Amino acid sequence: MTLLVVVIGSCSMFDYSTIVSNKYAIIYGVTNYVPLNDPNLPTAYNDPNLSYPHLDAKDLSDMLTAKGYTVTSRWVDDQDNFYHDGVLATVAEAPSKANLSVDLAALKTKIKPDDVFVFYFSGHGTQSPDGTMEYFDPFGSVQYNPSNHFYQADPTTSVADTEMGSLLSANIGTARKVVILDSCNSGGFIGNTLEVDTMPSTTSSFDWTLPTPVTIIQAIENYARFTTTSTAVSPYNAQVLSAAGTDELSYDDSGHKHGAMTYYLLQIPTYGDLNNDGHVSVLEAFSFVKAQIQGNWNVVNPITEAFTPHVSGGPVDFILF
Amino acid sequence: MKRARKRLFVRRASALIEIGYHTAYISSRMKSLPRTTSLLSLFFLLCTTAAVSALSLGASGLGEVRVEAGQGFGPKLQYGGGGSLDLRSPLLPWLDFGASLDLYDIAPSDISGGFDYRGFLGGDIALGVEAHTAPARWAGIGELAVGTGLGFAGVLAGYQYTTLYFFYPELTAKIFLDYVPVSLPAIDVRLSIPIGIQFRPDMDYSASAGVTLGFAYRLGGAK
Repeated sequence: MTLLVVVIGSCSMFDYSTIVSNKYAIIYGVTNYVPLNDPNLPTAYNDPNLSYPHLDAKDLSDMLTAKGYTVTSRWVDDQDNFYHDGVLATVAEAPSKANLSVDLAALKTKIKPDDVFVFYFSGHGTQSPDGTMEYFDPFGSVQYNPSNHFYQADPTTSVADTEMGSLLSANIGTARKVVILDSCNSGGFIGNTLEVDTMPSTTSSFDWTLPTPVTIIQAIENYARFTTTSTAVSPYNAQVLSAAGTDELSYDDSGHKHGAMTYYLLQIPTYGDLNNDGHVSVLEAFSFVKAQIQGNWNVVNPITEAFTPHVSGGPVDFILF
Repeated sequence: MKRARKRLFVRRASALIEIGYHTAYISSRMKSLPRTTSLLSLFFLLCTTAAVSALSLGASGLGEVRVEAGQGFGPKLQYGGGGSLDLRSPLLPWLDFGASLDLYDIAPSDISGGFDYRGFLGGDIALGVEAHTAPARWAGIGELAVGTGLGFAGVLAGYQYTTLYFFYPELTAKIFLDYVPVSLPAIDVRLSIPIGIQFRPDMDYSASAGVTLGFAYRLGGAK
């Protein structure tokens, strides 16, 4: 009983006061995948260029810089201009898969075990035809296919869900890793192996998210088969906050001039502290963004354009700022 | 009272024999409905006067603290509380079977060090056995008995802010003090200290200790 009282009287069993966390972020945004003067654009059946990812990347870089992050940013805007750390650059500095490897490798010697790392991407996301793999598409990953007149993502120059986990493990030597993806099919990057997510991979008019007997059975099965190895980004590697489910699209919001998810993500310094403790965690950011999309975007747009953010499982939540 | 308990035990034993006969008779006429015969057996078990009169139904409230560590991070405390619906049935004069349906809310840990262990809402079904002393009586006050218990639970929990649910089993042990007020002889008031070990595969360890306060009503009335 004495031991119990002592334990209860102590707020924390371990002294974490000496931990000093530096914060690092890599921010990528791709608006124009092909130049405005691309000869195939006028006759292609689709236009691969988006509208606002460059604004997403710029504003998120500013937000995290203001919150003490050392930010490495790359984006290409709607006028084919490339920016590296906010400075006009050349195509060699584009937010490409090759430069992502360079930027991650550059952090490898800097990041310490107690530091925080955030990777953010705004742009296209895609899914393999068989639905087993999801990608986010950096600059240079979209190619014109003359046989069907479509611009399509090239898996070799996109970043697959399986790849992202490996890139992070190889380069980022901290457990406090967060991946935020404002792209289609981004829920596929969440590699939960224990948890059952009752929010489906595609949003519908009515989603029952309370647990059912099926949830219990699935949870028990996951327990019996538990492994920390995942086909996507394991929650024990990084927390992933995705704009959309595995099988659904996310959108640019013309009314707010940002990706629909990023528009609300930019508001978390003001509204994201849900428990009023002076800090915003990944779960708080997720909960706020999800509530706003469900209460705003999904209400005014057709159900075919509704989407819902998802987040990784795992027992630990990280403080963003 | 020792004698009364013995009579009760003998009554239960003969009742069980009778139940077995009835169940076997009915089962032989219901060969194609195994699930129904199982339920029917349970129904007869519960409906036997001696068995029903020995049942106690109750509710309790819980406050607890957990210590958890995982994913390479150090230990932190998480506080929570909840309630349960309890059922007890005597197996022997000194041994009871217990079952409960529990609900509890565990708050996130503190955020020192830039991380916290997630809070969650949990529900479980627990089964166990309890051993207790013969009650000691004080005229004008009531009866007191002390005991200990061991149990096992299957828990379904959902992380705060999410639609993510996970399962884990839990082993529990407790010590308790039962009080039967002289003015309410059919009521047991129980104060217990449960401790638990949660077998969460994504944590290095998770253990809890708490305090519960509850009451149980003996369907058969006073002892």
